[in-house]
Amino acid sequence: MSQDILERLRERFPADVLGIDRYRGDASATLRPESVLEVARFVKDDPALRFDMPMDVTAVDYIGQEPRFEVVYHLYSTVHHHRLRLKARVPQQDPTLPSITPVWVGANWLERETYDMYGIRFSGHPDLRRIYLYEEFEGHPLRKDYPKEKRQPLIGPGSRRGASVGDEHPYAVDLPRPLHDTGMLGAELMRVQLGPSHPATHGTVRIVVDLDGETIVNADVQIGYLHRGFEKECESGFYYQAIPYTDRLNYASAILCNVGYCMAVEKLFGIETPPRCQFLRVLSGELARIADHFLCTGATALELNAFTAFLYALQARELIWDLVDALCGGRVTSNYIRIGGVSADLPNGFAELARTNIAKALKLLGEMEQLLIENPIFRGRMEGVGQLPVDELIAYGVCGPVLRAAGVDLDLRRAQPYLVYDQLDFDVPLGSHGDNMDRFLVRVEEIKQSARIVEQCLRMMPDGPVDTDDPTIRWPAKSHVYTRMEELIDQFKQVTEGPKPPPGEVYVATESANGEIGYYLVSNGTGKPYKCRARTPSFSNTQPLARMIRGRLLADMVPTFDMLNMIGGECDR
Amino acid sequence: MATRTIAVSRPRPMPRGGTLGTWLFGARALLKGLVITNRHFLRNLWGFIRRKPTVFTVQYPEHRFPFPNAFRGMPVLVQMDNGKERCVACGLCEWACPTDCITIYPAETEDEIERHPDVFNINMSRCMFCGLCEEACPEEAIVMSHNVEIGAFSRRATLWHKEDLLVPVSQLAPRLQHIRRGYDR
Amino acid sequence: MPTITIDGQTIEAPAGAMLLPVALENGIHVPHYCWHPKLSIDGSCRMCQVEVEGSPKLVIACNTPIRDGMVVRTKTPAVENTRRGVMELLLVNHPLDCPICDKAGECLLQDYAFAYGSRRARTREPRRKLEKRKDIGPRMILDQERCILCRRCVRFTREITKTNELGVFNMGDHSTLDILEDKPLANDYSICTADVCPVGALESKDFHHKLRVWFLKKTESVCPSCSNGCNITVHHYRDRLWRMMPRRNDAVNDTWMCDHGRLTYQHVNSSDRLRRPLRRRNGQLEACEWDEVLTIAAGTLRQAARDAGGHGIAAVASPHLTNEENFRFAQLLRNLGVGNMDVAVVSGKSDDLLVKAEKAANARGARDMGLVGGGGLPAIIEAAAKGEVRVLYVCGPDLWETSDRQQLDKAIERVECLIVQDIVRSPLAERAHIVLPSLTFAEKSGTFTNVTGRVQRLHQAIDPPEGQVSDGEIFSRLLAQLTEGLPSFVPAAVLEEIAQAVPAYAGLTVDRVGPFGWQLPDAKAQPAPAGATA
Repeated sequence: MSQDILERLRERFPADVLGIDRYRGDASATLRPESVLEVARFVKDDPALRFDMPMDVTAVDYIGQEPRFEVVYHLYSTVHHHRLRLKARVPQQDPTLPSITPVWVGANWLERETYDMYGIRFSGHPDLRRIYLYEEFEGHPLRKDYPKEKRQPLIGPGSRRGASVGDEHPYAVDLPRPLHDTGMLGAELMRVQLGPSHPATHGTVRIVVDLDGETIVNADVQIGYLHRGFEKECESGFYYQAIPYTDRLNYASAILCNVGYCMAVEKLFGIETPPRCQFLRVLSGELARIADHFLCTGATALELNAFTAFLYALQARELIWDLVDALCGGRVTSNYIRIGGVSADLPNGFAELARTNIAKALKLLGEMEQLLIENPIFRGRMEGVGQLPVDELIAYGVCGPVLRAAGVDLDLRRAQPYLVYDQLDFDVPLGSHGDNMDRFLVRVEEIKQSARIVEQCLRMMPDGPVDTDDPTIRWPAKSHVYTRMEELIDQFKQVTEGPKPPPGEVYVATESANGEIGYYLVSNGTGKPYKCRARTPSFSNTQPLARMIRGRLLADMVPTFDMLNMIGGECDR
Repeated sequence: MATRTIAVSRPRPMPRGGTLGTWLFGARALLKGLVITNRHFLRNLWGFIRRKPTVFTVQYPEHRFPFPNAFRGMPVLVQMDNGKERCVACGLCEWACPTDCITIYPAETEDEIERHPDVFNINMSRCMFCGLCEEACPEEAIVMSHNVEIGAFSRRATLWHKEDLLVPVSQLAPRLQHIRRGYDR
Repeated sequence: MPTITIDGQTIEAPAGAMLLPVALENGIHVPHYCWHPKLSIDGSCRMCQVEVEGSPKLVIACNTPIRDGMVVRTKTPAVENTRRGVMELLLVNHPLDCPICDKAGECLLQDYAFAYGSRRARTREPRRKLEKRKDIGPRMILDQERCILCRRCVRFTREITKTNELGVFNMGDHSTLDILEDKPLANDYSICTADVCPVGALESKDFHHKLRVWFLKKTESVCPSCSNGCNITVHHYRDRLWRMMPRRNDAVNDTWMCDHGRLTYQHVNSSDRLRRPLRRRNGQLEACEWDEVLTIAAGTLRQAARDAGGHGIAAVASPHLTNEENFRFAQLLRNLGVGNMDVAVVSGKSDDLLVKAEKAANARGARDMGLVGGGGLPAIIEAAAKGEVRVLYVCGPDLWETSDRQQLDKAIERVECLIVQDIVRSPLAERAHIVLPSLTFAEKSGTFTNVTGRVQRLHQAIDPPEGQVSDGEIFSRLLAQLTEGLPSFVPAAVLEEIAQAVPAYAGLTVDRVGPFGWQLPDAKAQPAPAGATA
């Protein structure tokens, strides 16, 4: 499959494709930077390729080499279910290349992020400003010569910027101009801020809206309040030290983030984990998914003032957390998966506890359904709200339950099965209208399906080793470290130098609770990742929010935002 | 692959506003909701009256529930029966810690175990309770305990020294067993 | 030249060379324990075994001379199996000491076991019992259980220091590394045995249980303790020095350095270090700001030069400062018209291995920069005692250490303004009117010229504390005040100035110095310094 994609690309652009690669099965093509837009158009429109979904745009800083920066694009086709990586190098003096926003509108935020972090300029981008950091920030933090410990002052009201813009409001921001300057009855538009501290946005995000009465005429979603420098932190530590940080990406379902990362490192090594390990990963991942969906549905109910349903959802989550706790010792920050295995096998009595707790959780789910789904208030707030045409959603890179609610059959567990999902029997719920109600129903159904998967895992769990048998990848067993020389040495080398995958780059995507979470890792042969990029679904899912709420009432923002399930940690990294 | 897609079942369209149907629809939803919540309420009330609470909430701190063996609370140092720490200041936990919250100054001893930590500090405000220190330790000297009640009144008090971190090995048996079992193949 | 092939790579090598060094020099890593580039061949560890086409058994690369057309393979299953076997046997009796052993992180046993060893141990504790923590010398500790009997240390004491303290006693399974009771490992190079030891059997007391090596950052530099200029690596962490180790330079120090030089790093961390400039006010030395003290110093110097010409000022240069700094000092003194200047340097014993008599790294460099004039040190002291010297600018502690105390006291009494620039607050500084804190070799970049005329580079290892400036900066600022110019001290730029201004250093560039130094073209033995007595 990847053969055809790359050959076709090279056939069509013989001068522009500078090199192709299939390392570990990832189709990758290096382009001349000027040709990026043209190639993008081709790969989107060509019927054999049909790369309609932009998954990620990022850059890698190869300091010391010239050209210094390599801009990397990851693309996916919802039609053929194949992937492509495009790369283009730009020099340090003038890191510019054409923006691909004319081809995929979802590249907008992704390119803004690359500009913010690396200083790459995208010509033709409609609105190239920083996305995570404030405008006055000096430098581009993900560059290798930007020291991790460098501090810059936070700015506040009365700063240079607020004063010079000349606007009374100290946090004035330039929004794209709305179609009309005034609203009904000739009244001036009212600019209001939702967030970043807001009881109804369960994640820190700032949405600046222009209101005409209660109607949102224009909106700008500003993220980055929870940006903690995940990538920079991972680059400065070993591969095994990044796992607790991945917990804090989607902290509502941490295990799913662990799984993706460890699978990416294992792909760098080119190894497969034993069957029991894979079942454990699926089992724990599905528990996390159940917990996340409970949180999303419950929090939505909360913000529509159905407080009791929220408490039922949290109670169900507690039951799931008891299981995760028994498995790995942490309820929210699980740190369960390891490179080459998992941290601990199932404790005694786990299967029983799991069955009991899941049964109780499903019962609570049933009660929530009864409380909410037939309720006219709930239905009135959720039905018909927050829709976007399907092709627009795809062009934004939206995935997960949000996309499935619009009727698109894209679930990586089904489309590109990994671990042992191909041996399991489960259904993927799809919606039809793509509105908030469908998103809600899809999530509710996914909880039930995940419960099925958990039950199958418990039944089908094979015996056998839990970890890979390679001490250059997986730390040796503790009881051996205490008493045996070789294992003691292996433990020392592993901890002090980290696992050293051979140089190369991989991209591994798994289906997390909100959609595709992709890890793009670049290894330079040392124990620390040269680049550790997490492509997170919340980031792409939050991008179309402004489009979804434009023209709707202010109150419609709340259920729409909740149903996108923007987890701050995942969106802002 | 044994997966298929299914369509979610949306509820039937709501009755048109202003009609009797709307009133009935609303009343039905209201009653259904009240039945569910009241069932919970009455069950819990009955349990409260009988003094056998069925309510899910745990009245913390009067009642606590036990943590599973795997639970990762605060890291502590294992104290041997002779009162000394088992730690030999090898420095692996310091190096493995992602947040750099452990500081160790090694020193020599005159005992049979010739090395020990003169200073062993953990900055608990940085510690994220990930357990990598416990995993890295080759001597079973630092383990995660079940203690999470470590709030302090000043930043300085969040720096724990060696003496504060020592816990006798007899109290840590379940955890030690978990470590040896959990990582075994 | 004969040509051989190793793992498909064609290599030319001199006839008679051994296979192992040829492979290593061409980037092919062959694990080895007992072989060392500067010691005789032992062939005892059996770790460097490789496959040579035509030979029925594996051969040890360290003792196999190359032949033209030889085909060598280092990655075959036989070689891998053999390495596994050797590692297993070495580890069978090795104690589980990694957590307490200083060598962890730079231990060849760990490295090769991880890379080439077997994955599973077939034996458990307990191991054989020998003496641990044996005090075998004033600076060394021996742990007999950890020794893998490579005998590098034995050959070192036999061939390099020729003192023969270490030996392997008993035979076969009872072989034990030990010293003779009445002959401790006390030679001047004893810590080099810890360097050559591939495991943690021989440890230096100085670094024992101090810090884990994976924290250490390494910077290349030159040892400051004598004029041999051994190439070293400075190991530092958190702006402190933790140890120094020799760096291989076949033209200067091979792979060795003396113990005294090695332990000299301690002065960098000393808590007695001067941190702020001092000025005498009302009879007491008080701390003051840099701008203030430099203005006063420049003013005093200017005044003295105006009133009494060059004779009113005398200078004693430091042999511990870099060439760049001394060059700036010479410029400053020339500007003032100073005629009486010299380099004071402590002299001590030397040996026929590395240690040289002058106990400072850059005495020759200081002289080459032109900091010698007039009648030398005795003349300076005499002139001062007569009251002819108004300002005496002393850099470094050597004047105090080398002079007759009484004479010096008398001389200082008559000096109107004594400026002392030093690292610690020495007794001489106590008598000074202006005290300027100096920086050590680890806190600056620059070059030293060793006794044979080899210019070698230092790299800055740690940052000086906030507010402290290098000696070069001090001289530059004083010069700037006198010439109303702008102070500038960038070592690389000053090196270019030296190449222009000093004939003996013509052609000197940073690249030419490189990591191993540059021998001055006209490096004949230096004429004796003016007025030298020793």
